[in-house]
Amino acid sequence: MRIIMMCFRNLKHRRLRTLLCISGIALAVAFMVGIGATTSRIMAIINEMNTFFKDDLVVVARDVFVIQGFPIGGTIPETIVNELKEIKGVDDVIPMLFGLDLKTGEASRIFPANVTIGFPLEKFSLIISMSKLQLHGQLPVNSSKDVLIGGSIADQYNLFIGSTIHLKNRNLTVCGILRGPSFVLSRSIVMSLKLAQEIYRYNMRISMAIVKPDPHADVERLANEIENKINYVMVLTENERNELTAPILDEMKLWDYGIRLTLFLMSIMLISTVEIMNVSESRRDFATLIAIGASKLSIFRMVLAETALIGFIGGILGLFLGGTIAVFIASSYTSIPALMFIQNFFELVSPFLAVEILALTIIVCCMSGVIPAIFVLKMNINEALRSEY
Amino acid sequence: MIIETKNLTKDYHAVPSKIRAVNKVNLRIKKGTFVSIFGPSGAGKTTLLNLIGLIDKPTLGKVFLNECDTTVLSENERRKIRLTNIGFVFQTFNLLPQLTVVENVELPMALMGLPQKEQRKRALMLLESVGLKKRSNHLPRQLSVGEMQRVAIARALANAPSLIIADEPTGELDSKTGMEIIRLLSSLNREKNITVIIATHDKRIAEIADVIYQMQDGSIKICQ
Repeated sequence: MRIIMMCFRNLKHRRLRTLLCISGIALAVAFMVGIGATTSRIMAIINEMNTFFKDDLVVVARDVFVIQGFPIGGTIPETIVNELKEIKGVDDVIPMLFGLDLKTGEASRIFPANVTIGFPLEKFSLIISMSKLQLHGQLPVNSSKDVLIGGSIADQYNLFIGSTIHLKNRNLTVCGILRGPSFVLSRSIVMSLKLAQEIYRYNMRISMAIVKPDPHADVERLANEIENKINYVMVLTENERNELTAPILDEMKLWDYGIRLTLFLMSIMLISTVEIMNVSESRRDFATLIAIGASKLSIFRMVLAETALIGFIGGILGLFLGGTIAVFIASSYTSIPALMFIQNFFELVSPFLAVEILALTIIVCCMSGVIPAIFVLKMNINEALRSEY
Repeated sequence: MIIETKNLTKDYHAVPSKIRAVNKVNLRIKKGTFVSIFGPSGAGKTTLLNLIGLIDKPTLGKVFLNECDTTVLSENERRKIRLTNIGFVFQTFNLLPQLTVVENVELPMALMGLPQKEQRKRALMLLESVGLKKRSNHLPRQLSVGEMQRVAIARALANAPSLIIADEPTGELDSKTGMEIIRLLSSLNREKNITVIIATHDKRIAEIADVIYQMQDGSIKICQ
């Protein structure tokens, strides 16, 4: 306790230097949190997309760009459903159409603000697992105007069960709200396939077909057979979908780790420099402590405690600053108001990420104290006792 | 504490040749003696005190404390002796500026691992004995130089040492305050039977001691 108090007073004694050092650490942590939270959110969304169709085959138009299960652009005729059902090894086929809320000139956005999903509502439980979701209200009864909406959309536009929403010149009634940890569903409008086709003017067209194979079917062989029989489609197994996004996810992880490593190294250099200056100015104090009987371990602890304190304060400040950066990044790429992300702050900046970065920062700051501590222990005590400071 | 040195020698490596700061010093100081080591600057007084105080290691020779050869001890054993048996008073007081007066006095006790309450009780008692109890919560910079040196003496007494080593304790003080400090050390020597060794270049101060050694160019001779 006395060591911590001494460290506080030492740092307070050199206010400006401490403030600049803590600000440097806070900025480094802020970048780590901001980038970490953003990349982990994007990665979670990409990963989540695949969980909708786990173990299923996704049939899309040939040569279309696919992120996990979802093709971007390109449609296939709805009649393909019957063709697919006739193939041996196919248990069920669910046609699906979805529309992305991308305004003109915004196609380069990483993720759309809203996703409209249309499929036969009687197949709802086959497509959307309710294990982690809560449905407030009910599934659409009137398939020509009832829709389910995600919780995030409901909160953003203050919508309730019974509210009317206006989508592509159509008035639709909210019959249920889906709440849960799913990023995609929280921004989705779920409706019947027929209604989606009408709204988006894709008469008898679908974006994709989800093929549920027989339990004993060989999915690889089945995928090949479908592609051979219907030459204008591409069939993606779960492994293939993962393979498509694995390099993107790996690269994102690599960048995240690379940025963290660089920032940590810069932090080590910054704190080491500041702490060497601090201990140089306190040479006589340390020499006095050694002379009156302080052990090497206690001297080591004092220096490390000072750097750890810088790390702790800088880390806490950085977490809040980084969280704010992550909120604004998320808000800017989704067009969802920043306030909504602030309300769900810990969904964006997970407590695990916050604790992980704070712990790493404190460890790194302690490491930064090693060189200054060695500097203290190696100094000439006789000389230091007589020095001016 | 009985202090004895045998052929105590300390060389410093300097360019172009080494400097002999302490040259074959032989001393025997009995328990409870007030000793002054008198000599000009650069005579080797501080180096000798650092060797006796186990802060430094000799190049040659031995230092015996209570018949124990300290030159064969490990750094940690020497540190423990410094902490428990020796109190240091420095010319420039060497109080830690960020700690209050009472916290400075508590420091050696904290290093010993004494309970916080006991540290505070004893520190206040020591400050009272040097007449500074009312200043216990002040920072060193808020004290006069004489008060700072009295705090340093209280700190030196914290772990009830049997030896106090004071290196030029009056060097930064005016003559009146300097004499007060020496009288304080002298009374501690008499009342608590603590061995006190002071280094000084002031002959008037040296003469207060029971035994006076004169030091010149690293060599020592007894004057009284």
